[in-house]
Amino acid sequence: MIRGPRFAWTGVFTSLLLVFGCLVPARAAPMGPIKVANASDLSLPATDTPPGFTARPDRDQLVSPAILRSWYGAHLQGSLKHEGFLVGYHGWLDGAGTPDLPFVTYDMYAFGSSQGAQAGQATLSRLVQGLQTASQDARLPSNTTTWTDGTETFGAGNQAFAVSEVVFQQANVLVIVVAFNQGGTANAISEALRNATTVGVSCETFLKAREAASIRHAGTKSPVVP
Amino acid sequence: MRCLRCALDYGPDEQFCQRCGRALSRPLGSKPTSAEKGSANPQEAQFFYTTTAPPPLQAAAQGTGEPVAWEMPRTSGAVAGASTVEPPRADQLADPADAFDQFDFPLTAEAIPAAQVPAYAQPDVPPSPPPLDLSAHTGLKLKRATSGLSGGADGKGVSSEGSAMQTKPPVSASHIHEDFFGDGEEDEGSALLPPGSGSARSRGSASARPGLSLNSRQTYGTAAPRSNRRALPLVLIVLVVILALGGYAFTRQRAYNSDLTNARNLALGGPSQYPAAIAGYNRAIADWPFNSGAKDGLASVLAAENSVKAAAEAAAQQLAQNDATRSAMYDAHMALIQQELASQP
Repeated sequence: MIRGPRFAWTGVFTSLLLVFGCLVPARAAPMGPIKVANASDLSLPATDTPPGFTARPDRDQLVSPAILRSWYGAHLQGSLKHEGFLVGYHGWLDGAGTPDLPFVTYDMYAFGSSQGAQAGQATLSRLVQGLQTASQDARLPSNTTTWTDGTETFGAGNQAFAVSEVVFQQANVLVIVVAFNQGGTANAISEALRNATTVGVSCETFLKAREAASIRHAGTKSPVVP
Repeated sequence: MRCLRCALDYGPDEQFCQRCGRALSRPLGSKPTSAEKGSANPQEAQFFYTTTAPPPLQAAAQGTGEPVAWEMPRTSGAVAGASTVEPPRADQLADPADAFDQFDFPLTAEAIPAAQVPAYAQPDVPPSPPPLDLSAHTGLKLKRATSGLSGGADGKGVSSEGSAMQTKPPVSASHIHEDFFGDGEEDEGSALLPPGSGSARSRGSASARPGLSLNSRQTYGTAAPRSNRRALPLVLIVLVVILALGGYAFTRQRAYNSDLTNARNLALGGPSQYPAAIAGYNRAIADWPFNSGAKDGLASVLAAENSVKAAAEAAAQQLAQNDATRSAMYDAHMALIQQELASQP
């Protein structure tokens, strides 16, 4: 009689261990950080360049902390460094040769962790001009935020141009896509938003592929090399 | 003196054979007489005649200026074209051709008075001495005779063979004395020697002549055949030159057509082939002087290339302008962000 309850408790405990053991892999399923050896790893390859856009390598730029300081100031650069900013890449894609001269820039900033990238998204989102929109492409991550602005001007004649900005985070990489169109009309704004979404989807596809490759080569080494 | 033909000996003062009329030769080893030594003067040596014995001149005709009537036999050979040379008077030596014109030759036997016909030429006289075959011997003999005339006043000799007049260089008197026949002719060989047995000097001079020139014996032919023989090489040379030029022109024209066709095909290949087409047209123009087709094609290709270049330049300018506009939009956007950063506390 005494052995019976004792074996019963042992069996229950063993079963709990087995159940826990089976559940552990399920909890480890979230994707790990994207391995970035250098800034050029964040360059959108030609195979992922969306149709209708032309890469302009002469306008591409590697983003270092010093570049961030020149763009956003020392305060913002310090904040991003505190959040784990490592390296980034600034790309330029020319759109079709239409009179509204569409073009898109994309920035991919690698952070030490997904939390750091999420914090960086919150920091840089404060600098975005325009109105945040609710429309969002289903192909983009759920953390994507979108802005549009048709009030900006350029040149001596203060010519209006439309800007649409898409910001999202994929693993430890923060992505900022800005689309420009000459003209401040609704059509120009819509065209800019469409272009920004298209390039954002391409960046998200590229980063997912990089993330999968990083998982295949995951080991004991650090996933991110500054 | 001895006649080498008739083998008759004469006295030392005789100069002509009374049988055949040939000039007598001095026997070998004998010294020339004083009269012969005095004949070293070329003015006198030119009167050595070997064809026939000079018939005696009528005394009334000497120095009168009237035409001299020679007692010349007219045989079939003379009628056939063989002519004879008569000794001119001393005052006619300046122009031997005029001397011939002053003579009045009867052309037919009937026109010759019977009194003037030599005895051996009379029909009833047996042919002794035999009549001269002027057609066979006149050429050689007359040539020998006229060589003696080379010392004329104008320094030109006169040779008559058929109807042609020939000029020969003067012959020195010493040369004449060294001649066996005493007729001033050395390199023509002797009538008593077989053909081809001329002196070594004459054979050597003949072999040293240029290829297109005629030898000394051929120069005594008539004028028309000699001009024909000289014209034949010239005609051949002209034909060869014409053929060579034709072949060259044909080759160049074929190269021109090939280059022109190639250039036209390249011109149809598009702007990327324009430089090669232009090079092809230039080659065609250099190939053939009548190259209007190539020049037209070159002009069209150059025009097309210029239009393409202009379009490319316009596109480049438009692209640069678009880049400037895009850069201006981007700079304006970044400036706005920096303004926002500056406004934040």
